Amino acid sequence: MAARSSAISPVATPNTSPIFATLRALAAHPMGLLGGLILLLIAFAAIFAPLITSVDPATIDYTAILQPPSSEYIFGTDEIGRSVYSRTVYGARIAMIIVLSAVGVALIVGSIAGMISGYIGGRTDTIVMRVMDAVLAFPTLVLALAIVAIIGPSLVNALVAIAIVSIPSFARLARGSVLVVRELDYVKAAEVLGASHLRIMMFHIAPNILPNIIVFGSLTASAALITESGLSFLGLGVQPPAPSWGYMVAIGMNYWTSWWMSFFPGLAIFFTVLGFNLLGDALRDVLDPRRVVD
Amino acid sequence: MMRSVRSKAAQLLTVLVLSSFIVFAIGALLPGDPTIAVLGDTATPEQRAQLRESLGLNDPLIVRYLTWAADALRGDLGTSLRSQEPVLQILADRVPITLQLTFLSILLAVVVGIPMGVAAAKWRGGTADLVISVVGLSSLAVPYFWLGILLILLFSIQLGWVPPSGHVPFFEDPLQNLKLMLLPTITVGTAMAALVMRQARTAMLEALSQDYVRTARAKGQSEFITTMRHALRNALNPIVTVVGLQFGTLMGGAVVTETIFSIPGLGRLVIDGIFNRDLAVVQGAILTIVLCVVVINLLTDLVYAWLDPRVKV
Repeated sequence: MAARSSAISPVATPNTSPIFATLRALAAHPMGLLGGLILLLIAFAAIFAPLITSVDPATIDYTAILQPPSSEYIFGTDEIGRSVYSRTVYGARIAMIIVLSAVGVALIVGSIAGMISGYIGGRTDTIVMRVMDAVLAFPTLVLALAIVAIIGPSLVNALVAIAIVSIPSFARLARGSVLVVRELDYVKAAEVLGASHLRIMMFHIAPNILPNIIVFGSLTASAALITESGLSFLGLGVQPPAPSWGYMVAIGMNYWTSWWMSFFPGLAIFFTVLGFNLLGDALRDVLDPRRVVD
Repeated sequence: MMRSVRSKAAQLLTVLVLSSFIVFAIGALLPGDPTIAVLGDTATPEQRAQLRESLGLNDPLIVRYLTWAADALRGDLGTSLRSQEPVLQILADRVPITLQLTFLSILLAVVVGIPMGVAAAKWRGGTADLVISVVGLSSLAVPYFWLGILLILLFSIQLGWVPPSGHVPFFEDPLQNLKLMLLPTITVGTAMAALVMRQARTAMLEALSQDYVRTARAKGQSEFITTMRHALRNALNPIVTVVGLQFGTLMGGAVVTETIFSIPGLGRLVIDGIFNRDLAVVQGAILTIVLCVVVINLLTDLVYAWLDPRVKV
């Protein structure tokens, strides 16, 4: 059992940076390592898509429509003869762009809102949190659908919608963490020493709640990808002909006998979500010394 | 005690007012001219202006919200621009279908998830634990729509055991209804089962390490009774919470799942409403979904208190 009084102390030894120590601990965590490797593979596919595909994802070939997987087209072809493999690989770009930016925006906006709300307290806190509660009462996909329906379906708008629906959870988490951390002795000490509110929030509170937020960010990324692919599955995400995984799965539904059209892009979503979940779980184990790893 | 109930009620009311405003705003902000849906393309600008005035579309947003909310409280959610049916009537037809799907999914999640979680905790670190954990992690990562399609490919197209899609009201033909609901239930319930399993495992590990479990064992109680009556009874609370809190996610899953399986529920209603620009229908359907989520969250709190007498509502 770890000592409870140690509160949230960094895992780092004096001579190593916390980032390095975290990475090393992650490498020793089998599930975390697996998650990290999956995500690296997806990121590799996204970045080097032109190098690992021989056919452009937009190339239409009416002489090769609905071809099952073969040595030429390892994931087969779609209804207008495009390579499902190329489209799945390029789809990683869209998925990563939307998920990382949406979660990034939500993380920054939500955490700042939650921190300020929790730090100030009082009426501001009540109002901010009630608004967050109201947004949380909506299933994320339903709200994201409604937002996209209002502002129109496109890559940027899908990103905006997913960011908006993800903000309240970050705000809640940051606020909860602030309420705990601001009661700690060293924060009180900083207050007594006359540190400004901004300084206390930036240098004393933020670094302390960051591990929690990063863990949550990784888990939110998987939820964001499910929402993004749900949107594009319903035709309200990134618009064709851009290769979006959710939309590819949806089109496959019109060609039941060509199972590969839905199967491979869906598999890509599955592995990416799995990667984020595994990484998030591992980060939680690694970043929280109070938690006993089992 | 009275004070905490009152502040809880006030909190609930505030959330309801705020979220109903969001629902209203969604309907008001959706692009598209509602007069086209009523009058068609051929109407003159004067006719349109007249209709806008009579529909109250020229009033300030807050006035329109208050009118809408007052009507909604009286049970008047407007009429569908498309079918000219009262929205409340449409909802009355659709809501039971989605509720059946969500409750069947919860049933599946509980029936599968709890025993798996208990088994994983009981044989912690063993093969069973590993297999259950891998299955659980994988189930959490499967997108609803992909799972639905894989199920149709396997059980309908390949094996031909169940029809791929469609819906029959339960009271018309219960057997056919359940047959058609089978794949959608698995689609929505799988991720939930994994969540229940993970929560059950954690809670059981906690409960099994408690003194009262050791006491029960020391008294010579059988291992089965110890696990079920002493440990599981105390592990139920966090499990109930996870089911309650995930209800919203479940409703979101129903939206996609109903689309795949052509089930005429609340989710389909939202999607169709959005594509048809049928504002009153979209507002009514989303409002109903939010109401369900808020009510279920409240019920979760109450069940929590009932299961654990130490907790005050």
